Parts: sequence; C-alpha cells; structure tokens
Amino acid sequence: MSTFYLFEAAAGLALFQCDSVDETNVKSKQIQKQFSDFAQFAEVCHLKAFQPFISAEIALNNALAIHTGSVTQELVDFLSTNLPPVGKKSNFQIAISDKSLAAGLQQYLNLKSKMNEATAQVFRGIRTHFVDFLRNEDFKERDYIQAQLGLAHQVSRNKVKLDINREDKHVT
Amino acid sequence: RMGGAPKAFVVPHPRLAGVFVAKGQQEALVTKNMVPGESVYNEKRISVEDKQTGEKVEYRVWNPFRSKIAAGIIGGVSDIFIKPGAKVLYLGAASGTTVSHVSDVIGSEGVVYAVEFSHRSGRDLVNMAKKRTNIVPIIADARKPLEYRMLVGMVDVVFADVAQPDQARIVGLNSQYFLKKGGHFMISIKANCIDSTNRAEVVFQHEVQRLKDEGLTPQEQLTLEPYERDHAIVIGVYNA
Repeated sequence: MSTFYLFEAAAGLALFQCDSVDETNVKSKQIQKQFSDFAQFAEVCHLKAFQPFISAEIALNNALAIHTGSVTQELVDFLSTNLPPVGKKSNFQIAISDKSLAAGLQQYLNLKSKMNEATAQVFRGIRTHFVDFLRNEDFKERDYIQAQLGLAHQVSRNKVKLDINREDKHVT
Repeated sequence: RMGGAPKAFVVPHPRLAGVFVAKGQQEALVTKNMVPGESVYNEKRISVEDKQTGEKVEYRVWNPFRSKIAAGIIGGVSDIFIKPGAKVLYLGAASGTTVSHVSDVIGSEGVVYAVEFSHRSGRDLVNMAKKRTNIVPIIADARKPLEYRMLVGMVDVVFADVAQPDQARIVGLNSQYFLKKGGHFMISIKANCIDSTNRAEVVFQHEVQRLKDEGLTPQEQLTLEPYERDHAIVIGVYNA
C-alpha cells in the first residue's frame, strides 16, 4: 500500500510519496541516521507534487485554515489532482499532521488517513530536507524563509487587527 | 581626545560568537545593532570605530535585569547555541526585547521564529519585526505548534520563557515538530509559576525530570541570581 504525505509550507502545498519506510523501527539509530541525510531520505521519500500559492491572499487563506483545521478549495484541488483516484480498489493512505484536517478530508474526499509515531518521524524528515526536495524548482533556503516571513507578517496582521476590533468595542 | 568620558571599546565575548562586551567606565554585555541608529526598548547604544576599516559600528546594551538569556550569559553559562547563522524557535517572545538581541546575534543569515500568545505584546513584536527581517513573528499559542507548522522550519535551538506550569510539555511538543536531532534547548524556569508550595530547588529538580521524559537531556543548569529571584535556566540537547 502506498503512503502519501501532505506537507503544508508557507510557499505552497507539497505531496510526498514515502512507501518504503520501515515503520516498525523509526526511532532506531540506523533509521534516524538515514532520515538525517538527504540522499538516503530521498530513497524512501519522493516529492510527488508541489503547488505554490499563486497569491499572498491564497497563502493567507490557507494559513488561517490551518489554525482551525479546515479544508480549503486549494487543498481539495491539489489532492484530487495529484492523488490516485479514490474508489473501492484504491490502495493508498495519506498521512496528515493534524487530526481535524484529516477528519475534514475524510468528509470531502473520502481519504483514508494515517497518523502515528512513524508518520511523525517522516514529517520531521520532510521538514528537514524540504528545500533540497525543491532544488529542481530553483527554490533556495532564502526563498523558503522569505515565504515564511511574508506569510507570518500577513497572519499576525490579520490576528492583531481582529483583536483591535474586539478591544475597541464598547461595553454598553 | 580631550576631555569627556574615556572612549568605550568593544571586544568579542570570550566564549560566545556574536555576543560582545563593552569595556569602558563600566563593563556591559552588548550585541551588534542590526538596525543602526535605533533602540528597540530605549536601551543604551554604544558607537565605536572599527580600527581596521575606520567605520562606525553600533552596539546595543543587553540588560541582564530585562533578559534571562543575558542574565544567564553574565552568570557564566558555557554556551547558548544562539550564534551567527543559527535558526531559533523562541517561545514566549513577549514584546520582543530579548528577541531583538537574538536577532542581532544570529545576524542576517539566521532566523528567529518568535511565538507570542498575547495580542497586546504581539503587536509590539510584529512592529519590531518589520525592521528586523530575520524575525518571523507568530501570534499563536505555543501549546498548539501544529497551528503554526506552515510558518516554521527545522531549527537549531528552542528557547522558552513561557512561565507556564506545563512548560516542559510545551518545549517537548515544539521540539518534536521543529527541533533538529542533536539540536539544543534552553528553558527559563520560574519556580513559583510551576509550583509555589515547594522550595525552588525541588521545583527545578522536578522540571529537569519532566524535560528528560520529553526526550530533552539537560546538560547545564544555573540560577539567575542576582538578576531574577528563584529562576533557573536549563540548557540541554534533544534526542542525541
């Protein structure tokens, strides 16, 4: 059975396929070593698809949805385009880092999701090597941080703004 | 130079890269100002001439009464792991006074993800971060790291000053997602925030055990006297 991983980054949505992870043993020295080296990790985990957010507004919308664990249109489109078709014969699972998002996706797309100690370790590996995986897209460390920086400012502006409104409301 | 105070000079800290010491009438811990000409919280600035290039370099005084990391450094901590180019996750950033010094230390090649829950302090933090482009400001609950997973990458150091009874758990959770294997953590513990009925030493001991349960191995512990009462800073390594 194939296992896909949904990884949400400030720059966009990414889908990884990681079929040959030895799940019984993820905390062992040997596998930890394998996960910390990009070349070795890339042998068990492949970047299947990457969809950059095409506007700051869409990035913000997706970052805010992550706070509440809700499903966005971009996410539905991204997954339905890049995952194998869902049906009686489908033979894959998807690892989602957040429980409520997993529940939402189950509802929208009828996806079988997965979350355990092993998927948590694989997600660490993906986060560690994310920039390396996107090398072919001419994506550099600087771009990665720049995207986080821009999005973080947008998200916090959005939150603080909401808060100002609340504070300004007079008690009558 | 005729008259006036003797000229100050600045030397690198003997152990900690990116940290400096101003010598003059009084010794002071300082960091190289990333935004020359500006103070963040009315702290004193010291401008000195670089002997080789003749250029002016500005430093900001890092007050140990206002920053637990500064208090730890003056108290003689052996390493803070926050150094030029480092990636840092800072939990409990408040208005960002200490974060601004961390930003100076790590420089333009580093990044500090600064998490603060309170919107009131968060607003100051966000404003400060506009001028310091190595600070990623995050207004969120540090208990829910999944909510900011899009904004944070893998880091070398997790620092926490959250003053919450469950802070060991908070650091453990954030480390699971964001602290690289063999990365370091630093946590400031205020004894009476954890348990006001026990002696401080006993509380610190319990906290150290809780950190171990989270896969965080303490390597160094020191109290922050005389700058803070019943505070300790614990430093260690993750999952190594």
